[in-house]
Amino acid sequence: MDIILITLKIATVAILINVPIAIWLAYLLTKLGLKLRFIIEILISLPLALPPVVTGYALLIVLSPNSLIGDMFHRLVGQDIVFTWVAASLASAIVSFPLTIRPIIISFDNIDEILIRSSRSLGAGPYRTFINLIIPLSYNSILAGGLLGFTRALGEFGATIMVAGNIPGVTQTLPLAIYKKVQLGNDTGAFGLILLSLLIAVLSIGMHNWLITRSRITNT
Amino acid sequence: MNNNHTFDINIKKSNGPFLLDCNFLVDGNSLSVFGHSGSGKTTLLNCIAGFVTPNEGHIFFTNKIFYHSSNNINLPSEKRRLGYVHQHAALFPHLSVIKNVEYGYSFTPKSERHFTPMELMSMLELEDIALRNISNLSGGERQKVAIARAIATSPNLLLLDEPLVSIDHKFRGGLIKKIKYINTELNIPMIYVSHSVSEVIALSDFVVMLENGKVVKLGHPSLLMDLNQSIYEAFENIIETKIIHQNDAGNTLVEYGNVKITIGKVDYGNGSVILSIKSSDIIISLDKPSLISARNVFKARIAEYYIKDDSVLVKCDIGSPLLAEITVEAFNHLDCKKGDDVYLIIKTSSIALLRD
Repeated sequence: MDIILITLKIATVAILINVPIAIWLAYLLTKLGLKLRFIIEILISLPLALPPVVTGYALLIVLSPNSLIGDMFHRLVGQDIVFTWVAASLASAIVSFPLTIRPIIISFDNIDEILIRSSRSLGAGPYRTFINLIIPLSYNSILAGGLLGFTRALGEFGATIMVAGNIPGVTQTLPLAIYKKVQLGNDTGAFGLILLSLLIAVLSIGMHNWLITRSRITNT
Repeated sequence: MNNNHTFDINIKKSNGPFLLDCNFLVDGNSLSVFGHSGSGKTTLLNCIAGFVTPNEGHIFFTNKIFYHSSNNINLPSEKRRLGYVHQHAALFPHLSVIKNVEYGYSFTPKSERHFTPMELMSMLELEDIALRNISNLSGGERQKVAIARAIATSPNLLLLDEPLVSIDHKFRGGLIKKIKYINTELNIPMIYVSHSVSEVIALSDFVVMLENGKVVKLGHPSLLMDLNQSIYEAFENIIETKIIHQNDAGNTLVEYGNVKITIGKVDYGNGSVILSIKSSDIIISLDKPSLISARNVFKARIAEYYIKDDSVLVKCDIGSPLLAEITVEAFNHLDCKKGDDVYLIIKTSSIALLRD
């Protein structure tokens, strides 16, 4: 039970970090020129292409007690950030970010410029247009992005084990537990967790696809 | 609001090889921008609305400065207080009809609000569909909602970008009536973009004609009569008439100018109907025909005529203008000139009702 709760906690926090940043960055991208946008989109997609272990290693350096961030965290909280569930959430957030932001970028790009102009001419400035038009029209895509990212965060392994280890009751998530059980030869225990992972994955992807379809219908 | 407004526009805007170089100063309440596709009329409208920034120049409307490059003034769209109606309505798909109409109203300062959304819903006969999703509306209903939404902000100026283009020909009457009402009765000045001479003449008191981004004609809409035939569709007289009487035979008598016109049965409306009569469906005769099947024969005076390649557009005065189009050969045969009295003959079946 601990494993499931820890996994859900880490993935939920990861997505709570990701979604607002993804919405802001996706909106920023619609305002950028093609060249700058091209470069930023590559940076956004990097965690998807890089081995998660590399991302985890980079994060380990950035969060280590000798680094600025690690030092600040230690001063504030009184303990190191590495090998905690917070580090695991950060690792999951970074690795799942490309999947979270992608549907939101597509949705923002697909909003008809004429609708945005109409909103502006009706007295809504950029902020009000964003809140009253762009966000409601992208609602399903934001949910879908969040859900896809959440699913990815649930399954995160490589970056998490680098930066947060595999500590039972602290940072041991579902995939880390499966790995541990297989290593110890506990195939039955591993199989139960694999079935649980499969169920969560099917439900999440099904929900994601349903939301994307609804989003297409809403915007036409 | 007063009835006389000044449109003072002098801008340059390049877009690739295309250059909009527009300069005019017009006083009026209803200005049309006329031209065919690619002439720059939508670019001009976008510059006025603040959607596109010109390269240089100025856009003044009465005592308001929307854009002035020398003084670095470029009011954002939301500060210009303009009502913009797109040719495809551009309604917000996530909102119901009433929520669309209320959208801009909620951003309008209380002191600037002249109409409530419900008043406008009632004026545009939208109450019955107030809660409907906008995906279930007809083309005419969508445009009415777009107009109500724009007017709800009590705009200083209404910009209409070919609002009738996506509406079935025979259902344009209601919108034409409403646009005229908004312009003349609610006193909201407008700029009407169109490539239809008939609509420009029916709806505006001044026209700016654009060609390749430049103003080529400026003045009363009747000057468009001089155009070569190839630039526009067959002319139709779009006229607002008053219902006088309906008889048992199913015919209706309406009044336009000094004459009474017999048309088919009218089963809707509240006192006035918009008619469309193609200019080529009007016959001109020098003598009054005595025995003729056509129900409408009126005495008229030739006010003006415009010779084109192979036809002549004759502007006839029957208390209000009516345009007839005949061939050059027929015109020469009649040997008529400006000021002559003639008879106009129109079959009832040639008069189309533009429904609400």
